[in-house]
Amino acid sequence: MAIDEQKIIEAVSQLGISGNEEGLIPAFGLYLTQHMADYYNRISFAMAHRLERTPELIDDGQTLLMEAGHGCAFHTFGGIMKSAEWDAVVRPMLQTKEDWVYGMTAVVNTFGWGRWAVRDLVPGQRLVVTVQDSYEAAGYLRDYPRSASPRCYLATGGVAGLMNLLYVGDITQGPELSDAYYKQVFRSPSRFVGTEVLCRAVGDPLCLFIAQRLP
Amino acid sequence: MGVRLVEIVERVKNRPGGLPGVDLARLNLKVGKALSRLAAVMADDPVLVACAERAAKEIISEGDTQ
Repeated sequence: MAIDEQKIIEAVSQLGISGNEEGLIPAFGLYLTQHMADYYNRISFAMAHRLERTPELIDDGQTLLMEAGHGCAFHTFGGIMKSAEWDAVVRPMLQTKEDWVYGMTAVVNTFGWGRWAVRDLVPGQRLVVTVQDSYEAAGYLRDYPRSASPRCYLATGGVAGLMNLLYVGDITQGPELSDAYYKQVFRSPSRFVGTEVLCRAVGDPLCLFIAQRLP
Repeated sequence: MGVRLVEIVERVKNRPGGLPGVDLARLNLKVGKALSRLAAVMADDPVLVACAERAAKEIISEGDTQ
């Protein structure tokens, strides 16, 4: 495995990525948004808590919050992996499709979302990612009592979305990231779904996510 | 039991170009009941059916504009 994560972090950190006066971060051929993590956390958790008053709807709320993670992975991770910055910094290190997973998690570690690490990757079958200091779990613990269930909805969808980009679609071929392509990938009967198995919000030491294909 | 509700759920689930899991979750939240899982055992209450019809039309018409 040829990925030098530290080199990627140092290179991305030197790109001068920052927000403009409109709160947008033009980078990687995308417009990322610059706002406080707490903003997203609080509207997500408020929605989840509201639905928890109607237990039969809890799963539906989680489905939609994780769908936001799918969309984030598709457009943000997908856009990054098609960008000039990716080509300049990461692509020279890529030898296998699996390297794309390691390369992307290295880039994620420049974003302040927590410390992502690939614990296990079975090509085309399964991805296990740990996150230390997940901003979702950290935000939850700061604002609420310990949770009875995992709270890192965006990361759960993101981990699954990364696998879908690589092994259901094929981001290595540079597809157009269109609505039609999104639906093709995320409607696939062999798509990946994410599960948060450990979460700091419930008292675990870190957060752990598994993405695997629909049974 | 829930014949019309089941029909509404199926219509949303099978809308062309949709994401069934996401569309059904949205239907459930708009109606405030887990229709996608419980329609078959719920009665076709006219108020609930009307609410579900409105929600289904919204979801399907939004898909048509994409």
